[in-house]
Amino acid sequence: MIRQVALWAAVAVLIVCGELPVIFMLAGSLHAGGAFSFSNYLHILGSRHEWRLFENSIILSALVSLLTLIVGVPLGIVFGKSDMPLRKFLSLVFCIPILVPPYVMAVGWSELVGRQGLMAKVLPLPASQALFHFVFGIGGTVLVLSTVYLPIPILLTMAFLKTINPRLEEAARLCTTWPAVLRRITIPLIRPGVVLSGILVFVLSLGEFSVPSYLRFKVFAAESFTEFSAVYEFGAATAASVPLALVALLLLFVEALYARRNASFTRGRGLVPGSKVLTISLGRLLRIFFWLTVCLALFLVFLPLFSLFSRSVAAGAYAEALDLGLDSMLRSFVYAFIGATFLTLTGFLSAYLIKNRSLWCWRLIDITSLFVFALPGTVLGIGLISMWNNSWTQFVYGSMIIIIFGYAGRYYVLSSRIILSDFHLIPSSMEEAAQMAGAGWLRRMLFVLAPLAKRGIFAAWLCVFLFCLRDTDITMLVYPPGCETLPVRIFTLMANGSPSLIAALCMLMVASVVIPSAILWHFQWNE
Amino acid sequence: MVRLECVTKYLDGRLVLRDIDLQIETGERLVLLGPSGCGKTTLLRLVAGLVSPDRGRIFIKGNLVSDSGKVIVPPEERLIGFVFQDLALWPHMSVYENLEFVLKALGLRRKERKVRIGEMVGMTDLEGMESRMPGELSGGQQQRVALARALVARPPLVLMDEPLSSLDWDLRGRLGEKICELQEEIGFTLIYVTHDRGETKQLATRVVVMKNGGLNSAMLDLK
Repeated sequence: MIRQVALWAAVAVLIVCGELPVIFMLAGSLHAGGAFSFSNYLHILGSRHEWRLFENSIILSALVSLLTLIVGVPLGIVFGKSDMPLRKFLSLVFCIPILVPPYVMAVGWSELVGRQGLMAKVLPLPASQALFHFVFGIGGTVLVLSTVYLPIPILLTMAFLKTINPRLEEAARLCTTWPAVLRRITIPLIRPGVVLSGILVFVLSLGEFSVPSYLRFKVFAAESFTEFSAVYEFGAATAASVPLALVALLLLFVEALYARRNASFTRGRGLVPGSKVLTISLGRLLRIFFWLTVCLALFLVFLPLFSLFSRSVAAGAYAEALDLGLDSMLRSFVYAFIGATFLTLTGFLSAYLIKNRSLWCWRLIDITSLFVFALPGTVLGIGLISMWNNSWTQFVYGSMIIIIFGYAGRYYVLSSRIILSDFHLIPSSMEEAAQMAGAGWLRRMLFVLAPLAKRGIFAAWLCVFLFCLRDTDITMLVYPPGCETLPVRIFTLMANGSPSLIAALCMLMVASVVIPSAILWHFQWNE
Repeated sequence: MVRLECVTKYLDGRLVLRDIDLQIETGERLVLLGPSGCGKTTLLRLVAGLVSPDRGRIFIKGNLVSDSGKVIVPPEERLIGFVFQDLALWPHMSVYENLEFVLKALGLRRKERKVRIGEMVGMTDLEGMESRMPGELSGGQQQRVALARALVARPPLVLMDEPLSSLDWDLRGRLGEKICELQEEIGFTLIYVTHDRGETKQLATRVVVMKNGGLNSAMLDLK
């Protein structure tokens, strides 16, 4: 009985925080002037401007996916399989951009190439102007979003490399060299991970609005955000969100089909007990790879962050930033703490029900949680508002609860999947043995499964904490007065705040995520 | 064919092989017999060049291939066939592609590859299964594919690491016979690792017993 109640409660969290808001959003888009109507959709379909924005979004997402895969997969292989020194540190450096709100990197680049930026001081005027025009447009948007989402292919490549039986590569090493083994054996075996990362980057880029708006590249997600936040055209905004949701759904469907087609060679994979991932000795190429990686890290991560830092050291900037942003920063930590703790608990239950197929809807939970994560944040945000903005649900809509609900819907899949991966390493016999010894379900969970999966639980908590801490898309739409978080505070100040204040706030944001990330990385590196 | 001189190997700080001296003659079927964890697999991996000895030297056909801490001749240049304990068939390639990969690495032309694969498929009774994926084959068929892949390049030396351990008694006997048959037909030198005395009797022309990382002084000559 306790088991059923607990598992259904975990399902209810996803339904209430993730699925119902999307349904409400869809229903809302079919209303105009108080009656059922397709007018919002007809307006979008008939507008050349909207089609142009949609095309921009697709081109942007395709370029970002392509670039992140081209750079991220080789980097993932170098970090995951080679003997290059400082791999752990460098991989953490490449992960920094995904841990901060995406616009932070955009602000960094604008500080670098802007009219008062470092480049304007060292480059001749035509060159600095050309650079300015490159960054403020599709070029800069692709560059910034690629930097932000680069960790996805890197981390997925590293994770999938760990699932390859090293004997498969050794068998190939007996007849050919490492480059051929990588091309013919290793990369085809991690292809499902590569495809998944490409699709994730595509849908996340599709829904991102803060970077394109800041760098003045017009995309569909920014349009729906503007329709909602500036004009408060609820029906139009929801209708504008639907195409993005449909693209996300279509791509996840394609990914699911692909994964099923390849199931025959991904099933039952895993390291042979006692064996390790085979390491490629780079030999004479080590220096080249090392310096290439360092240069890339300097260019993509250090350069924009350094320009932010140099701007932020202006007199009084940090004092002003703390004065204006300290309460938002503390609030961010509190909300992220609550969100991460709540989601770790539901993620544990959800992972349990998916692993053991305890409820008939286990597959639906797994798929829809990924779908809600892949949806643009604006879609979920608008859905949450349309669901909870009623006179009798003001206790949710008018308080921090709506933000926690947003986190719960969006990041449900993260805690669930991370804990699930740990559960897969625990033999079912562990729980069965406790059951045979007479332990009830709750006791088995608390004293057998939770201690065995403690590293996964900790990793899930920290990972969700970081994502909640950086969240901009949902919080921006749903935060009630007096509940703004640091990312929202910075974004709203960007319109009229002084550049040194914005830079100082961004640096505070970076500092607040780097420390927990380093802890997570240290603990998870060998997992 | 193969000579090991004073070979010592540590894995994760644990002594796995201690001062191994061993000579294997051309055309021999040497069985390394011993309990789990005695270092049999490590010895095969040293000969294959997948790991390097911490001390000692390894010669193949009189050439120094590994020397204290160094792999001098990399695995792909040693022309060795290897059947792994878990077979390690590439799951994303068909039976034909699994065999073809080895021949492509040798630089053979398509026509010659086809002829060689045809021959090997015939020898290992795999006709009609060339287009199947490893996941679609039975345990015995997978075993034969692994065998075919190890032999298709006609290597002078073949290493087998408990390849029949996961099969039932009857199939094990039949495949053991097949291995002997192929060895006599092709004439390769075989180093075969097992802990099964039945397999040892069936396959070995010479047996070396291993225990606690060393070779037991009692070597049985079955010839």
